[in-house]
Amino acid sequence: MGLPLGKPAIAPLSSPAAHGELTLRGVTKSFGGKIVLAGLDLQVPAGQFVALVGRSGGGKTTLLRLLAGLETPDAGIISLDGVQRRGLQKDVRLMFQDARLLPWQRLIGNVGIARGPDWRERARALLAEVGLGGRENDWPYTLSGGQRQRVALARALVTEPGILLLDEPFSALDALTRAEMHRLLIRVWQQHGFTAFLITHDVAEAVALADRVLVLRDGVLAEDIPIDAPRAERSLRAAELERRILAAV
Amino acid sequence: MKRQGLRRGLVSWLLPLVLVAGWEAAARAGWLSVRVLPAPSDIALAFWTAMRDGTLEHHVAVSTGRALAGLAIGGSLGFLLGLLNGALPLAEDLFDSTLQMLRNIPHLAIIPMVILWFGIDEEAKIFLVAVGVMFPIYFNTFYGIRAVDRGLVEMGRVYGLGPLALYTRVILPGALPSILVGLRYSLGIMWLTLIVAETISAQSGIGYMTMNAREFLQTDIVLLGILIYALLGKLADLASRWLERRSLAWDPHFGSGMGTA
Repeated sequence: MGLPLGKPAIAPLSSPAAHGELTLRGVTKSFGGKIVLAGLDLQVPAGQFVALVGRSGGGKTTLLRLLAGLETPDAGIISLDGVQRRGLQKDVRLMFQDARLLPWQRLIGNVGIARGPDWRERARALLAEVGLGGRENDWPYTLSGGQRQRVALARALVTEPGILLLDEPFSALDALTRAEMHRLLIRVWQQHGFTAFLITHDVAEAVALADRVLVLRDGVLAEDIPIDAPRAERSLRAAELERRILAAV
Repeated sequence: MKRQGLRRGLVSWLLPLVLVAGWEAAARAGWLSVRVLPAPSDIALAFWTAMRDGTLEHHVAVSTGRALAGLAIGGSLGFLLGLLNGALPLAEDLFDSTLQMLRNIPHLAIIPMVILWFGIDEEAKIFLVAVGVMFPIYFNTFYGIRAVDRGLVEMGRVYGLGPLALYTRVILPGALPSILVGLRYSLGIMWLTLIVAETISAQSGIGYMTMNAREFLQTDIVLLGILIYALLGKLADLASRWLERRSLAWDPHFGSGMGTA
């Protein structure tokens, strides 16, 4: 699909989700005496697309699991739209590295996993939005890797979350499929207006997608680089930005 | 493809047919003593006679009733224990090692005890079947639940499933293939146990029918009983396969591949 890559640097005003502001203050987490996150401070305005890069084992996944509510911080505060929170949140959804579809549910059942009122209509609409309209009653085993992640994206968005966390969801895809998924993600992000928080080890991916790239090193944010160039023009400046980010990692 | 399947089906019947024909010929020619092995036609005749006077129907109904009662009791007990121990670590610590020990006792070895407890009434046979089928269903349910992909459970939690929804939508469907393997295994044990129990002590049922026939040297009835057991075992196996195909349609190994656009 020939979607334009460009988009305004600020989230569109028409965004239906005017929520998704994220604030971290002094967030600390250690495992078995090893400090993984050392007093992290971060402010993410609603609707921003943030990419977090860093070496493996550098605490990226821990931070994401904290944001998802799967772990609790040892110290510090995580607040969402100004309210401090603990545990799993309805307003935060997580896309995993693997799609984690339930093999025994048809696509519509996977997308509407949380059920709720008119879940069928919503799930059907979301499947159409990710380009899988008409395949509601197929089993997951009939899908390719890229299609599985499309279903996972639809499942994440069906409840209109304020924040979408992405744990390297495209790392296992081939280059062409990945580029397609990038365009799809940017499109749904612009339409739904959620705050996107992407973990990746692919610096080029971070530069291509995000409004802002964070570099996590030794448990603190070593760099916080805004990327304000329109997405269509980024490839021109990409080399320079990538050099700068790689130097910080 | 259908015609090829049909031909393969026919080919697989070829050897049994030749064997039966050879057997019939040998019996007719007098090479086989009727007391050792009566001709297939004699067995067919015995089948027809037993059908017409209603004795066969009666014995089959009694045996099937016992088998299903034992399966229902032992199977649900094993299933519930498997669910409990799979869900609660405390229950696992409490029950699992004991059940592992009990499993190692061959359940047919307790027949003398069972006769002392229940005499030779219906309870004894149903109890034996229940004990026999309980363990395979318990272990396969338990390990099925344990083997459910942790990633899927975590996904379910992140996507807001409560404990009940997590169990019915993620954990149980994930354990189902293993549970059905346990069921299929149990069905074999079910018939085996019943044969032994009915042969030792019974006033009705197929086992009684064959033991009674043995006393009167009615070899054709004995063979008929054996064939009926084989048939019932095959039916149980077909039923469990049908159940697998129905409930595991999402799995390309079992399903008919339906649902592709």
